[in-house]
Amino acid sequence: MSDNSRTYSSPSYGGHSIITFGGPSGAAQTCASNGVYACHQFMFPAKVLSGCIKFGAISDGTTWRTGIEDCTEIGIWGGVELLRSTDSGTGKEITVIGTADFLGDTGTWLSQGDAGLSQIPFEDFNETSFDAGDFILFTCQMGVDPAINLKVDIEVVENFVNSDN
Amino acid sequence: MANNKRTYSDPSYGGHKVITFGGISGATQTLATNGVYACHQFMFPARLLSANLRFGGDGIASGITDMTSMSEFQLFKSTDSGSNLEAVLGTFDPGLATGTHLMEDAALSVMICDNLTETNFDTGDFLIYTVEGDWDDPINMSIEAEVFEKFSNDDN
Repeated sequence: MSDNSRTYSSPSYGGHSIITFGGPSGAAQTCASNGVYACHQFMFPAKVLSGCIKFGAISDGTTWRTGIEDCTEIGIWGGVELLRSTDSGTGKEITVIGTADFLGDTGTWLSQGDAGLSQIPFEDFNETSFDAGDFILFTCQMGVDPAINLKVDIEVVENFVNSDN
Repeated sequence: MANNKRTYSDPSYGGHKVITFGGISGATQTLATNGVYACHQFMFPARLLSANLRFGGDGIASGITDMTSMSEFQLFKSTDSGSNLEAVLGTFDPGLATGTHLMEDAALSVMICDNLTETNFDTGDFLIYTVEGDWDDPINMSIEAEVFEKFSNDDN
């Protein structure tokens, strides 16, 4: 975060950008209720406007999987949410920012192979501001044997920071 | 890089963005001192303001479980094809060398480059992330770079 001589009224603050975080998990991974799958620590103040989950390909070193082939093997898809933490990431604060609905647990969720089924939006989204150093946490409840690859795209706009003056 | 009719005084140049690069490595990979792990070539002029090193899963483990074989976590600038490491911009503190750094643990899945020298990059310049070490299983490290766009003559 740096001083680049902007005032609070600079229209550059309104520009939308996308931050992507997450990625491949490990094999035999377990997340308890609202267990953290991945996170991003903000480097500048920003407001999160929307988000979505994308399924990616994954290999265990032997076999490639092109997405999630059967959500039933993932166990209980609960607590698929975005949360905020203003400490080191252990606290999950305020209300849920958004929840993703997997619309059932069967079927094939390919990665690049099926645009419509390769991503799930977070719904009922509460636009939320983050300060530099705050965490946004992507949580879910699951148990997986083969690794999976979930990425989160969040749409943000930069918020005013006093040090820019 | 496009001509989008902006003047040098257009305040949109100040907007901060995050550029993410890196990802999964190969198994049985070896990097010598300051070996390049990953890089980003700038597509527009920008100033680097801060950076994080993020650990991810590799399909076997959901993060790095042993960092004792790795060192020299550094960022460099290169103004040629990326073969020259011209200036150290910052070093990630490997004080967390032991233990596990799984992505389920928000605080331990990231290292912040806390001594970064803010640096300008022209179009075509490389931002290079280097590390030294060798490992049998693949690892997954990515860099999140905070930048803002600088004025480009081509925009006029």
